[in-house]
Amino acid sequence: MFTKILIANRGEIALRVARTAREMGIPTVAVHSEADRDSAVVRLADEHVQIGPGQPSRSYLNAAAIVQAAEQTGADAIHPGYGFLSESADFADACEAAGITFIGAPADVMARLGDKTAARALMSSAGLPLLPGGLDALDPESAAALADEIGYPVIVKAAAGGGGRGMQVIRDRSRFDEDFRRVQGTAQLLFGDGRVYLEKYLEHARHVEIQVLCDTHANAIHLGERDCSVQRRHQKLIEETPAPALPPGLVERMGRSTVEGAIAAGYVGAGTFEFLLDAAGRYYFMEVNCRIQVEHPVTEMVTGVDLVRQQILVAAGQRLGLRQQDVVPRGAAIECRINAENPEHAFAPTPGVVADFQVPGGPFVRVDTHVHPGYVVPPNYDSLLAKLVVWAPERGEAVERMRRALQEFQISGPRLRTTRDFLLSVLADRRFLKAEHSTSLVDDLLAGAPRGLAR
Amino acid sequence: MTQTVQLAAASAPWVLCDGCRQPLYAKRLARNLHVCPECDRHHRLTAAERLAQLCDGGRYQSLTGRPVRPDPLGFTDSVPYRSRLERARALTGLDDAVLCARATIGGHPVILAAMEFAFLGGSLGCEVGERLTGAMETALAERTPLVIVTASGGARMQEGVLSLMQMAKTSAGLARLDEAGVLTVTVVTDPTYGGVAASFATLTDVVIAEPGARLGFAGRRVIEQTIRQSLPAEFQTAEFLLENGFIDVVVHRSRLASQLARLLAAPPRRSAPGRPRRPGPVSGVADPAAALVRDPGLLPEQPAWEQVRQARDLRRPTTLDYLRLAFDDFVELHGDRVSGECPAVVGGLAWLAGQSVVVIGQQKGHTPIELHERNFGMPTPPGYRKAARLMRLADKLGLPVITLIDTPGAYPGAEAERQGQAMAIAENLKLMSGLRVPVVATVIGEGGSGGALALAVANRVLMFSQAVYSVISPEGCASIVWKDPAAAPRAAEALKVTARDLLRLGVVDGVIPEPAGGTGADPLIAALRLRTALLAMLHELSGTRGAQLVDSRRARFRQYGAPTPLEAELDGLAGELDGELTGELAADVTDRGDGCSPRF
Repeated sequence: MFTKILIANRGEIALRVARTAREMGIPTVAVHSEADRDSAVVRLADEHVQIGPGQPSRSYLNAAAIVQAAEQTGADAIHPGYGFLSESADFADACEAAGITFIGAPADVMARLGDKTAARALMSSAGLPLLPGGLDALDPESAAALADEIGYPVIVKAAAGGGGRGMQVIRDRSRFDEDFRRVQGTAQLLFGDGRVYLEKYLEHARHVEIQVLCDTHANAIHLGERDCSVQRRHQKLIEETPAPALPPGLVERMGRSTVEGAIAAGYVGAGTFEFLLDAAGRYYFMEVNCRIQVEHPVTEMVTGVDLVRQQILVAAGQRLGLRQQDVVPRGAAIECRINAENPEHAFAPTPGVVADFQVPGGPFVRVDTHVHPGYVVPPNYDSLLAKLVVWAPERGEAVERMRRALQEFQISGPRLRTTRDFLLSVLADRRFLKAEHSTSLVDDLLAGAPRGLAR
Repeated sequence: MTQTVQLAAASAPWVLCDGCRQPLYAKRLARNLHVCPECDRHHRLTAAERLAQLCDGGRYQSLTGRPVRPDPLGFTDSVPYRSRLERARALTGLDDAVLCARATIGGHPVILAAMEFAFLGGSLGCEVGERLTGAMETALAERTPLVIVTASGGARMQEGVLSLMQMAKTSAGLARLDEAGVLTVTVVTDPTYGGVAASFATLTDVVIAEPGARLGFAGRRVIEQTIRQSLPAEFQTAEFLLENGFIDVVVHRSRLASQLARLLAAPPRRSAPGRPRRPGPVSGVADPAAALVRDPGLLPEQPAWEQVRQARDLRRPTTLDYLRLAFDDFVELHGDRVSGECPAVVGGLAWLAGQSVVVIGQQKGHTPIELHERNFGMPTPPGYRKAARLMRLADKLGLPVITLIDTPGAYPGAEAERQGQAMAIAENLKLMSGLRVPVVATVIGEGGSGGALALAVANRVLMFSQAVYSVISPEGCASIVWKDPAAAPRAAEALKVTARDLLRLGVVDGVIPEPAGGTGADPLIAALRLRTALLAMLHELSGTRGAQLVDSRRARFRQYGAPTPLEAELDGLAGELDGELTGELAADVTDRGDGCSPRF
């Protein structure tokens, strides 16, 4: 086992990793920026090293400084958390070159899965279904042929677009030529880049992901799914497991093919395979996240497996102590992300002082946070204040418990705005309650669409 | 066949960026083409690394030549020159400071020469001059484009005046490529100075520079020490040179190969070396009759003033909008190589249904900020000189010239006068009349006087149905002739500025109908119609030889004002403005300081 683990991250996840390490009896080193010198993880860890100023590129992204800190403190493993360097193949490679274990996927695996086109090709050959279409830029003729082949509706997206701009759904052939040229032209005008690609359009898409765990001895298992459909422009707000109202047997099938994909990729450690689900229960592979996910606690709540502990054991070369049949999810878990953001202003971050901060408690409530009264939300980092996680035997009770816990959560500050109330409005939405929502729920709510009108 | 020199630093896991002093993971830096991922500093490459980065698949075939006699002067400073040479050879693995090769970039054959700064500062000696000239001669014999990547401190001192002669030798080599119509491109990298900057580096058709690369004749230290002048930080950098009109474009290293590939796609394919150049036929042309109105009777009669206002509508697509929407690709080239870069004129190489063309146009904007940045589409002399340079390039390569006219007029400012506005415009009128390639001009908005005509001496002149073209702005005419700017609508009527009038006068050959609400209401449709019209015009002109194109263009303009059936109408127009225009106009121009209505 490792003699010392350096935690190359900040905030709640650094604290989360330090706690498990402490439970395992492994000393920890916290690296931190100037801005974080009084942070919770700095106090909890056995040692700490300041690696640079508040600016992330000079501290938490400064690979050389972090490797140097590990060498000086004698840490023989680095846990990267999520974000920052967690999916940097170069950082993994540099750790390896310095004789330090990177607690995560191997550098070459990460490089391959980080390339969207390569990852899609690899997973397709491993038998995972892809969303029909492609990421290659198309001219009008080949695009029309592709649309005919995969069937309408299709969505045309500008390669340089994003956030809903430069894309259009085309529902039948008669509109195709003009609409396609229009997206090209718009892309050219907006982004100066007229390249567009085309995909099957899913009318009612849900975001469902599968958690996997692999060791260095070619053993791989999955730990079930998480539904992250409540998201805004790929920023997740609420995650839950099990994914509600799925056709029977679907999760098992997804889990099996994910494990095959993970083995084909030579994956090691904890990872997440993201899928889109359509209304008919077909699933399509999107991408692999080679890191511990923000929303991992919901999986921990229903499986009883400490994922960070598993990451550390696997990185140390141990065989998985769990077989697939040992993973028996129980009940339902929901996570809400409390962010220092203003939902009324496009979720703009609101840095500043957190004057009042009282976390909820009671049965089956877990709060992962690094925040305390008097904490200053720094402008340089992501705006996550706390993850509120609840468990209950059934989804309905879990939602009730989450509502109670959110109402109990006291957070305020002079200029602080949080996502708490918006989360409550999602929890009150009839589509969410009946599990009839899709990834467009948040945008619908923001657009003021009549609440509770099931579609 | 690719030879790479293993430097000690390349194997170290971490390197320090000399731009931002950040430690960088060496593998990451190498994968990033030796551009710092933190501060974007373009680190120096060896000649072999450069060729490997640019050539398809990293593969190239070295061009070998007979080595020249080393050390022609028997030079010795603290160390004999011969030992310096030996040391440089051992260090770089090269015979001298340039590596010449045959390769393809994006599938296009090219002769490439990359200079090696690590070899005695990339200095230009006899061997370097000989190899570069050899590469030029190969390019000439094979009619293959030439790309030179420069990195040099200048002429090589240790070879004395013979080094100096290499400047003339290489320049003459490029002159021969100009005469033969072979495309030449330079990629300026840091640093490029002295005799190299003052010869082949800046003489090519297109001069690209890497961000931050410095180029100049005298270096900063020389200037600061000899004339005791302190210089700004950006002095002589690529960005500074771009602003001052000396280089065409600054290209990030990650896009360099693709940018070169686009440029190399510009020269038209030839059947055999030395054959007269002419553009090939254009395929996929829709019925031009559907796109163009040639009968003035088919155009609606509407008040001229209304049309002037329409033509100035800020929503109308600009030249750059049409370049994005109506053309398949566009590589903008900047600068007049003499005195500056004019933002009111844009130009470069563009592609239209597989055919490469040179496009030049005045650029306005849609917002007050854009308009201000583009000087409201009013060109300065560097703008006209840039246009001239690009037209000469088109003539050299045998590419049709397409111009898009949209200007209130040439810029009426003191600085423009100092730089020779009148001469710049005049020069273009003469130059355009003699171009041996098809020239098609289209008035897309406002065709304001001499400032417009300086891009419009064409074989075919088109205009959009709501565009206007005039000798003077209606406001200007009104204040001169009626002494009342409010008479502008009357002046507009009298000047006969509309598409309908101009078609009847024979000044334009065809009119492109606008979508409902004008081109600004549906830029995509407008662009599509422009594209169809241009393809039709190029098709019409495609069979014509260079000399005929010149003759017919000169004849086209010869007829204006000559006795013709149109005489009566022209008389009528002239009568209204008679006398006042010639005499009072001149007086007025000198009187009025604000110059709100530029002309001529």
